Amino acid sequence: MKMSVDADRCSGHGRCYALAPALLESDGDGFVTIRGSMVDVPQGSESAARDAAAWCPEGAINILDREDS
Amino acid sequence: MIENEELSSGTTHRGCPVVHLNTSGDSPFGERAAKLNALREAAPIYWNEHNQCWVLTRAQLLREVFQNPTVFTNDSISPGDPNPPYTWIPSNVGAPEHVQYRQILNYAFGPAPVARIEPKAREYCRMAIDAVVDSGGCDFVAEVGGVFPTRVFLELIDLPWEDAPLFVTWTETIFNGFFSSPAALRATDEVKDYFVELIAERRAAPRDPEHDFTSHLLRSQVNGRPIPDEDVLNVFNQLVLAGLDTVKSALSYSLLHLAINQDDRQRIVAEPAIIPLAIEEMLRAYPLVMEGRKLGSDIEFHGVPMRKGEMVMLLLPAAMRDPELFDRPDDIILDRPRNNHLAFGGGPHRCLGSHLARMEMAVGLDEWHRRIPEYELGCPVEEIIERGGQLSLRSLPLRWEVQPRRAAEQWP
Repeated sequence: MKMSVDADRCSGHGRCYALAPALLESDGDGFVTIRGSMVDVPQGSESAARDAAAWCPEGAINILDREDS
Repeated sequence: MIENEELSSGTTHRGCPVVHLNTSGDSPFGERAAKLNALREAAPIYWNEHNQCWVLTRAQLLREVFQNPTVFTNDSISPGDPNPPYTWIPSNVGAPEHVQYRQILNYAFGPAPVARIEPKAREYCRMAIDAVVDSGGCDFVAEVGGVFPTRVFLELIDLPWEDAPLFVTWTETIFNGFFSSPAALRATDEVKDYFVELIAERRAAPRDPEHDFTSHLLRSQVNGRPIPDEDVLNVFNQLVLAGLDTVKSALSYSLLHLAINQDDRQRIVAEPAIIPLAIEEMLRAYPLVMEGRKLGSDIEFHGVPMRKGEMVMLLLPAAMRDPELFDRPDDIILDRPRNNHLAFGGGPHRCLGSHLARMEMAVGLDEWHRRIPEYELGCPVEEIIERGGQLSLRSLPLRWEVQPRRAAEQWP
């Protein structure tokens, strides 16, 4: 599974790293550090990644599942 | 008073129903939410003949507006006033200056400085609760909700917390007078005088900018130039007006909800770990802000031709109970899953103080329920009055049984 954060949409609400602190973290300005990039989701964190995406008020987080692609 | 009964018998404006919606008056708690819900269910876009602006009711439309600041600009955020006589910074600033201001202000309002100040926030919160706990009752709005966030705010921007009563009075007066009554204008002048004096003092005797917010602002640059004093003043004005009334109100709505829903109150007491989720649900169910955007160009928005210079009003209280976004939207579900609400707005102008507000709400709910776990509303719920404009509660009488305490008993 991969996840990406749309740099234009992400506006630093901070929901994703609050909900999935083991997976995501904040930069100095409160944006998630992976803003604007796509990363592999470590095994076992798939559900946390999906939660983070669902909680985002901006709809900025996309999940790419191997089965989907 | 909201007068949407006047859904003007079939009148339309550029294809949209016309409504007469004045959100500035007082109304009994719950009445406004019901009326705004009814508006949302009847149409997504209205023309408001009360203050000549568009009104958007559905969550998806609000998100699109927040995320499109080029068309829906922040040149004005007052729905009824496309050309306000004041400039709030950073609210009224567009890109690229806006990005720079936000970075400058993250010095105090980013997640890290907010986390650092949490112990202090707990201390101030306990002070406020200590002052009322033995009296068996209080007006939560005036005695707790309005007191400790003001102290935290002053601490965060390195001003003496003893000045809190001044700020409490000023913000009350300004919001009660909707920014325009003689008393509100006088209070606005007094806020300005306070900060003019502060800026002059720091210019004359700068402090270490690593430990003094004002000195940090004075040494910061936007577009490669120092920020003029007038704009530093506009920053302070906005911080005061945006930061104090809202947290007080959000905490007050939360306590009101818990006082009249004893199951939810008991759950908070039994499972304090749920507080971060509960806060999100309170924010979703009771949004406070109904701000606007100003059209920067003509656009056809969901079939409606809107013109440059017109205002749109974003009806957050209706949109955050939109069944298209939330299941059982009128139920308050403390641990509501996937609560992607927009109570702090969205897009680049997402509330700067959201991290601070969340921390203060969490501290407030946690400390209150440690100390006063059992309480109830001190009046019939019908007597709870909401202030319009930026929503708030006029007062929130709570009462509880005073527990005899041993002298040595301290905070748990």
